[in-house]
Amino acid sequence: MKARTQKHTAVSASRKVSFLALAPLAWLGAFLVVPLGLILITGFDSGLHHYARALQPPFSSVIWSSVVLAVASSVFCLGVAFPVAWFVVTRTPRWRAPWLAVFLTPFLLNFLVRIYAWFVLLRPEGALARGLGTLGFQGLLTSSQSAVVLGLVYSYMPFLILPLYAVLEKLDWRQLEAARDLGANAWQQAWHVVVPHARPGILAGLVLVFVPMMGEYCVPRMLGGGMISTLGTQIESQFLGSVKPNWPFGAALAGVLMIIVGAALTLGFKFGKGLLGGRDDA
Amino acid sequence: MSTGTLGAPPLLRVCGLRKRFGAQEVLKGVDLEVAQGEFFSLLGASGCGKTTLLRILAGFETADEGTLEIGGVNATHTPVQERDLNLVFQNYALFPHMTVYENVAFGLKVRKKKSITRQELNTRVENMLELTRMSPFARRYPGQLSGGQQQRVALARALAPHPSLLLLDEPMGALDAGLRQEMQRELRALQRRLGLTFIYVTHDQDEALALSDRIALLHEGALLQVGTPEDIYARPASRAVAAFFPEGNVLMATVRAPVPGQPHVVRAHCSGLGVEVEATVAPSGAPNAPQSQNTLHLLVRPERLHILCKEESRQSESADARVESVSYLGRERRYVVRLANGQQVVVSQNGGAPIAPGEAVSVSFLDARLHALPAGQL
Repeated sequence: MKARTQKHTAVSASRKVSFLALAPLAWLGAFLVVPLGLILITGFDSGLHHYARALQPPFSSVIWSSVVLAVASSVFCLGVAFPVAWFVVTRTPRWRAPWLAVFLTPFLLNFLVRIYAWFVLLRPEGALARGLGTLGFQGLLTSSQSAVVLGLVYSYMPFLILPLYAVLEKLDWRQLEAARDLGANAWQQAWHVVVPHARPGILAGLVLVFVPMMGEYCVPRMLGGGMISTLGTQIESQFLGSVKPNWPFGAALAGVLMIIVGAALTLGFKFGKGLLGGRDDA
Repeated sequence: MSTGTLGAPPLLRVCGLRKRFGAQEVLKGVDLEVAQGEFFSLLGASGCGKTTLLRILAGFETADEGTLEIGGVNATHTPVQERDLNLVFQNYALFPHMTVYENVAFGLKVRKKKSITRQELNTRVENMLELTRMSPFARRYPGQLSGGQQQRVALARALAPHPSLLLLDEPMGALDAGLRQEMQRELRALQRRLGLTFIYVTHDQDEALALSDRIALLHEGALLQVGTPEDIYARPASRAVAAFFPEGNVLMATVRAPVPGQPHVVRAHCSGLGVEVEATVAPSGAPNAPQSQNTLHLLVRPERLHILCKEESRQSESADARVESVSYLGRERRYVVRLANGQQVVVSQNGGAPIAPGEAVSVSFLDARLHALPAGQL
């Protein structure tokens, strides 16, 4: 009898859980499945026509340059974020949080304000551009391409610093000492001990910055000087453009973007899992 | 204090090593010599400076003062990577993302100077795995191994580059008692077989006694005594050394006369047991033995005392006493006994019928000659 009541409460508890699960499912349905479905339907408005157009020149090259831009920016982002995370993690524990805060405070400022600040700095008559010009680096950071990369790297840096900091903080320093003891120099220690340890954080961080960078349209718009066309800017102008909006084609481009992002996510997880597969953390 | 001076040129020589962390002086001038092929233990309670000393030897810390020679070469400022020694870490510090094989090969791969062929490397790693009985686990990751297996991998990894000196930082600390004994035997056998020189840091007295050729007892940053396990245990140079192994009885005795022909031996009367004994007096600098009527402090370990029930014994060389308490420790019984003069002594006995508290017993020394602690160190 007692057992039955227990069973009964267990069942009703699990029913309660499944009832609670309805809320997130409803959320997903209303704000993910339905809009995505709408986009897909819109994109297939006249069969595969819009998709075919999206994959042909000149749009194929826009897709390609968007991928290159996002990949390059992600790599540069890693190049800056890793030393930053390493610097923070090598401080004494009580100074880590303040240092981390110092590196992240610029991001308390509104995104548009920050990008506009870069726009001012990178203008041909801006302080940075003129400074670099006098030093003989005319157009080093100010060309539309590099300005966009700079803006993207700057904007998405925290999404890479945080996961890197999280993994590096768990590094067992004695492993570095062991490597040193066995004769490894600084680069060998970094490559054989730090990087493999940080790999999950690196992959997670890269996915976190690559995905939004792929769809970013604000940075290329503001810093590209009208020269940079990405998937993001194309989608934006297809939907909101004053000249000739084309919703079905914009939806097809959005579909392409989703496929690329999905592939990147899958690759990131699969690659990460494969690399860590043999590992069974003690 | 005795210094660890040896006849043959030492493999490791440490002179006047001092280290300070802020206001705390962790090492207060340490002198040591370790011979080729020795199993040398640094024994001390936690916080005595033994780990700091080991880290200075390995090169992770720099001494404020003093020098360090390895194989006759000054290595005081040699970078960690270039020291001809390896360290087995307390919690092994294995590389979790590398297999057992890769862990062991690491030291050989990163040292490009001593370039060895791929085949030599493989042979060497395989030899090390065989030596530590880890060959079947070569493809496993450290996280998939038991504590004892991880310990073996750490040992193989540190031995693979063929260092002339191996440092071990409490390598048994994380193992349970049974496994620890097994690993101790293995480690000792390996060290003997390969003729390696080990410097072994531990806080476990029994472990140090069981494994070492010589032990250096470290206390508050200074060496109290360096000697064989027997020296340290049975002939401690000071009361502090004696106290490091708990439950040593100290009995008072009065010097009667020197023993002719033996400069450091006297006959003395032990008042607690009411018997006359011979005692060796540790040569504490002064060459002359204590004078007649001087007081001696005889060190008697619990297992060097013997008790018998009153009825059974009619030995002349024994004293009357009463059992106050008894504890059964499996391989021995430990009695707290009160002597006729009121002093309490601890006696451990590993055989015979149990004696109940309150019973009258007779206590006698098992040794004909006892060790007197140096005077003036109370």
